Formats: sequence, structure tokens, C-alpha cells
Amino acid sequence: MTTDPNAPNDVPDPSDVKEEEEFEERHLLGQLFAALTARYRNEEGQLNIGVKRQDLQEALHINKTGLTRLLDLLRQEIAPLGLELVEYRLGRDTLYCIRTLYGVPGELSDPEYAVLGVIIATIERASKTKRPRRIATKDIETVLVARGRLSRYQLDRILRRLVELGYITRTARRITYGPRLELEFDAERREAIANASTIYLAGATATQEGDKL
Amino acid sequence: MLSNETSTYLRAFPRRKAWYETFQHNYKRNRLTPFGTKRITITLWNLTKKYEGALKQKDIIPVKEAEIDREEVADAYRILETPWERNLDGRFYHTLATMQHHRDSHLAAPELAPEEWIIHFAEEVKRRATPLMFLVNRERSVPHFSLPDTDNPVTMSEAPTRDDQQAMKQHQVPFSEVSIDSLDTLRNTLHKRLQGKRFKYSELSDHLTNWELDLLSQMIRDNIIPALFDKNSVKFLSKHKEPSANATFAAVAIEAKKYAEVRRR
Repeated sequence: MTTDPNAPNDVPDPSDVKEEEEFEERHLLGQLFAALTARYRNEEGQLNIGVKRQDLQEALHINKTGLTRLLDLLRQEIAPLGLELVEYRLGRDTLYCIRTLYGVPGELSDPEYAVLGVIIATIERASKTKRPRRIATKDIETVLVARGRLSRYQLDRILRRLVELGYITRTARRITYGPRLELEFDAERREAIANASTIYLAGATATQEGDKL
Repeated sequence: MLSNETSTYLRAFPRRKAWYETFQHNYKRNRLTPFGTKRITITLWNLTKKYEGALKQKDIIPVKEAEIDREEVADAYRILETPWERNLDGRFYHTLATMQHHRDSHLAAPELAPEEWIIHFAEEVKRRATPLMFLVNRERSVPHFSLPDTDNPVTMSEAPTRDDQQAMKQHQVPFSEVSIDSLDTLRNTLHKRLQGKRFKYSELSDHLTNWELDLLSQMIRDNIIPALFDKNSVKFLSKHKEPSANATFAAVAIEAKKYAEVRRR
């Protein structure tokens, strides 16, 4: 067999390989972004925000260090868009999701935000030593229902929606922070809300004030 | 009670001075409380409980009443000695100050209507939020890793554009608006125009409008206007003439060029 020097080379150029790799990586980052901005409800009815680390590793067939490298790349890519990659723990799993860096209105309506503010203010005022930090539903009712700001039915519906969206977890009589609330409002922001709410939560209604003074 | 001479005298004798001071202290104490500290302690306790209860109920005690209470126990610090009594004194002043703060903040609170209160308070919370981002605002019941792989994404060029949709919408005619009598007359006029003539397929759309073509296809289907189809042309026969027995089934698609409204009555 003779060797022809002009025959086309089977080995591709290194520059081509590099371009292809880059293209594939960009494709992968796009898929990763789409996956991280999803949510689903598991069999227990708990809202999972983002994706579990184990799921990501299995889907991408990479180890932990490879995943961290990929996520770092994604973090750099989305930072100029005002987005941030967040890692958090839910039970035994580590999850990743994406949140905004700046204050923008979310998917809640005004009354729902107000109820959320009351919950945050009341829990922040409660003792910090007891964990989990929780309050009775009755405390919120005194502020909202007894003062005539919401009806009991409205409050109940709003609380149910907040539970559905993962902001709070609720037992028969008590309310605690859900995972999503702690992601969206970090400790500093919660304290700021508690401080700002003193004017709004102080005192009784105007009619009662007139009677007393 | 010490005269000026006594004080100059006592300056030379510090120990005696100390004795005099103790005497003075005890004298004042006895003057304030002929029955010891018991009475003032009870008053303090009652007032502290009153303010703590009011704070718990979020009631407001007016300034006048609070000032009278304060004056009543203002001198108590002179005679209270045991730690328990001094703690009680401190507790009373703490509740008094908290009540003052509560009252002030309440007076400063704007009198908002419930709806306004909700809007304003929601703003306070909203501007501090850093919401999570979701591409789709509805959760799935299945985790996305359990879903089957998608095909290649559909390109937008294949989908109907907005212009197409608008054109389709514009020339839609609801047939319920056309009465049956007028439909018959329309059929007859169309039949008279086409009877016994031969048209090329390409020419047909030049002669007829969109709704006339629609009507024509219905009439051919129902055999009201029998037609003979060739390779390039169609011939419309008169009403009574039967088409040839071995006519082959043919389908011709003609796109309308003229668009017009149906005449209604």
C-alpha cells in the first residue's frame, strides 16, 4: 500500500476540536440553566425548587468536581444578567437554584406580600434561642383579621397559597419559615422588614384610640 | 437639719460625720414610710402589673394617668434597699418606658384604610425581596429528569405567522348570517355564469372570488353543477346533463386571489 502525501488527513485540526468543545459546553450551559429554573412537587407534596446535586451528576455523567466547575462557569455567565446561583440544603439533599440579585416584584400579589411581612415581623420578634422559630396563627389573626384588614376566609386562602408556593410550612396552629422564604429573604432583609414594620403593626385601630385618649 | 456650725465642727471628725449621715438617712426613711418599705413595695408591684398587662393586651394608658402613677413612686428609690425591691423599681420604669414608646409609635402611625395599609406594607416587603427565578410559572408533577427526551425544537418559520392568521381571520364568513334563500340565488347566478364553459385551473381563480370558489366546490361535491376534469382544465356541464359514467375521481386545489365579502340580505 502506497502512502499518498496529498491524501486528506483523518485527524481533525486541534482548532476545530476546540471550537466543537466550546459549542457543546455552551449547549450544556443552556440546558443546565433551563433545568435550574424549574420546580416540581414530589410525592410528599413538598415543593422542590431547582435540581438536586445527585440528579445533576447522574444526568451529566460527571463527578462532583466536574459539576462544581460547570456550575462556576454558569455562575459567571449569568452574573451580568443580575442572576445568582444558589446552593441550599433541603433535608438530606443539596439543591441548586437561580435567584435575582436585585429587588424585583415576585409572583405574589399585594395582600400576600403583606401577610408575608406580618409573618416575618412576628417571627423575628419571637425568641431567637428556640428552634425552629415559629409563631401561632392566632398572632397573625389579631393583626390582620381583628383590625379589619382581611377577612378570616381571605387570610386562610392566602396562607394556603403561601404554603403551596413553599414560602411557609404550617401545622394545625403554628407557622414556620419555608425553604423558599429563607432563600428570598436572607437574615438581614428579614430584620430590616421587622424594623420597618413597627409603624404598621403598632397599636389598635383609630376608633379604639379615640375611645381611650 | 445640720447647722452651719455643726458641719464645720464635724469636718474635723470624719467618723462622727459618718454617724450623722446615717442618722440623717434613717430620719428621712422614717418620715417617708412610717410602716417600713412594705406599703411602697405593694404600690410598685400593683403598678408594674397594671402596665405589663396593658402592654400584653396592646392597650394604651394615657399620658395623664401614667404621669400620676410615676409621681406616686418617684421618691421610692431613696428608701428601697434590698435587691428585690430595687429590681422591682427597675421593672416598673422599664414597663413605663415601653408603654411610652408604644404610645408614641401608635400616635405616629398613619391612619390608613385597610386596603392602603396592605398596599403600603406590601411595598415595604416587596422591595426587599430577591425572588427566585422560574422560566415557567407552574410546577410539574414529574421531575424533569424522568421525562422522555425532546425532539429537535420546531423552528418558528414553519409555524403560521401572524399575518397569515390575520388574513385568515379577516376573510372568514360566518355562514349563519347568509340566509338559505339568498344562498340559492347565489348558487343559481354562479351556475348561469359557468354553465357550458371550459376553464383552465389557473384562470379560475382570476374569475371567481374566495367565497364563490368555496361555493363552487360544495356544488361540485353535491353534484348540483356536474363538471368534467382534465389534466389542465375543467368543463362545467348544464344542469340536466349527466356526466360520463366512468369519470375518474379528481381533486384540484385552487388558491383564491380575489377576496370579497358575501352579499347578505
